[in-house]
Amino acid sequence: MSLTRRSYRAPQTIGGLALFGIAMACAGTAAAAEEAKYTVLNPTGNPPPIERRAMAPRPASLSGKTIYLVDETFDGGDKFLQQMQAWMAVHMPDVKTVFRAKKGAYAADDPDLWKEIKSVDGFMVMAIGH
Amino acid sequence: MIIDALVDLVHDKAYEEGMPALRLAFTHTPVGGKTRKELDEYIAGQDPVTKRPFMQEIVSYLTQPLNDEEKQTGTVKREKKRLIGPDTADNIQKYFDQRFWTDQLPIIMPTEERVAAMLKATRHKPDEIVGEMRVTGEREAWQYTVETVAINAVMAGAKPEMFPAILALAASRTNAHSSSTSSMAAMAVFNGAIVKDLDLNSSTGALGLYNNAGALIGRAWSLLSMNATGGSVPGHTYEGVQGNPMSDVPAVFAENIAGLPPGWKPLHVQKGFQMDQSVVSTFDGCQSQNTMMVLQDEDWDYTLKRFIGGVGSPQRGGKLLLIDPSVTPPLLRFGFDNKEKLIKWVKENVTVPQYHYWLDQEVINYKLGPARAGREPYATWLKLPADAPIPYLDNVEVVVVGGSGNIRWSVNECSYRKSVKVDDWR
Repeated sequence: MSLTRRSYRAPQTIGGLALFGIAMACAGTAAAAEEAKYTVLNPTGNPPPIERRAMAPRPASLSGKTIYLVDETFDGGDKFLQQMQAWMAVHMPDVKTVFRAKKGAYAADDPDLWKEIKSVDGFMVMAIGH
Repeated sequence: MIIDALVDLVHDKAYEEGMPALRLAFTHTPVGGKTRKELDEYIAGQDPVTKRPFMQEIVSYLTQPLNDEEKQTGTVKREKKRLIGPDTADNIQKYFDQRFWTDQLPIIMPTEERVAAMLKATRHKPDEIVGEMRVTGEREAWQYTVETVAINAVMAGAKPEMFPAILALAASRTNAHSSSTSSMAAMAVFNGAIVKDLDLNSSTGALGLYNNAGALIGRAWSLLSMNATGGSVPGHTYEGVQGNPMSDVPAVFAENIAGLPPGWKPLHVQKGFQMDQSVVSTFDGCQSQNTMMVLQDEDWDYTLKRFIGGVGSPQRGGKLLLIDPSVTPPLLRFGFDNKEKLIKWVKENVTVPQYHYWLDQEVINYKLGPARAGREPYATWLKLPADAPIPYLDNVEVVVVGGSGNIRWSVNECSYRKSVKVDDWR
């Protein structure tokens, strides 16, 4: 099974070893060929396996649905979601929105809130401010 | 939804969580500190990454049927190539630099022969797992072996006699290159016989690069911290907004045992070890070093509170007081005839008013959620009157170090993490 890691700005953390081989082959000059060659050990640790998870099924429309706008307390996420809620009230009047600040540390689960959202067959948009 | 500055990080996190195609919407950076009108413009505008209308994108993410990629399950194993090369030292250095496997300074080539020589300094097997690290508490944990530590020690230029000390540091699992946006660094203090064995510095310039063993052990710890998690790549696995020079080569030094006044125990004894045991103690979350001169009899308590509480967010409960031996006589005069009394005084007297505590953005980020969930003491602090003093420091340590060239000492924004016996790694 393959898994592609996206990268927008910087080189990938792992992988690309095949490209390295090609680069090494192309980079050789007559002078470099005379230099000492080294085979070295990879200094990186061992990553854990990844358990792939399927995303939740989507409805055809949000009409009549409830969307929870959940803040995890980081830098201004609450204000951003409240302004989103105001935008949705004007532009998506057939959608009910609920603003909530998640309990617990910013990356911690909030089982009570997840249960509440499921109980109304609701949706969640979470904002991570900064 | 997340800010566009974290585009690579959030895709990495989604990948680690097994949802590489997670539907992510981006807004402009920053969100914090913006007016509601400015946020309205963000919301009515485009996603700065995908260039699609932001709210339309949110709606489509919630309603578009899943594609095959988004439905996938199963386990993906990630293998790494053990050997790299053969090639010239320049090309290998470049290859390592590009992947942020170095501190961008020249390294010693970690050949099998050099790594084997390093491994001879310990009885532990090369494939034994020493520990695991994460770039932050929320990211995946990568494991590292004795061999991984040896490779990074060779790259740093460390000598085999330093290897048990480096392994002990590795076993502390303290990451000297935390990816926090607050640009954290780390420090390590050695006590016991290892100090003499390696000639570690506890005097003038102890925290700087004025000691061969401290510099090389610190660099090995730094490189291991970068590489244990696959490389310290800006945007991916390093997010320090400004960076921190203290994290490039972490301060590694010894406590000045000769400078301890009567009644003051060395750090490792405070932590339950025997006087003659070789121990390394780590500190992380280091963000500043604030130095000042000796305290005056007339206002020492006012100045001590102002100085310790004067820097950094009250969200950070850690302070490491590095006391030069020349500064201890007045501290004894003020009644601090052991370290514990000084630590207790600091924890009780360095405070911030409740109103200002809960307006601190770091406190909001990290402590408001736990307070709402009922976690103490934050839940109680949330209910106190606005002028109630909040004693926010809960991780205070005192170490004596310095060459007494002047009556100076420093407060370091660092939190004690762990102490590890060096002899366990010989």
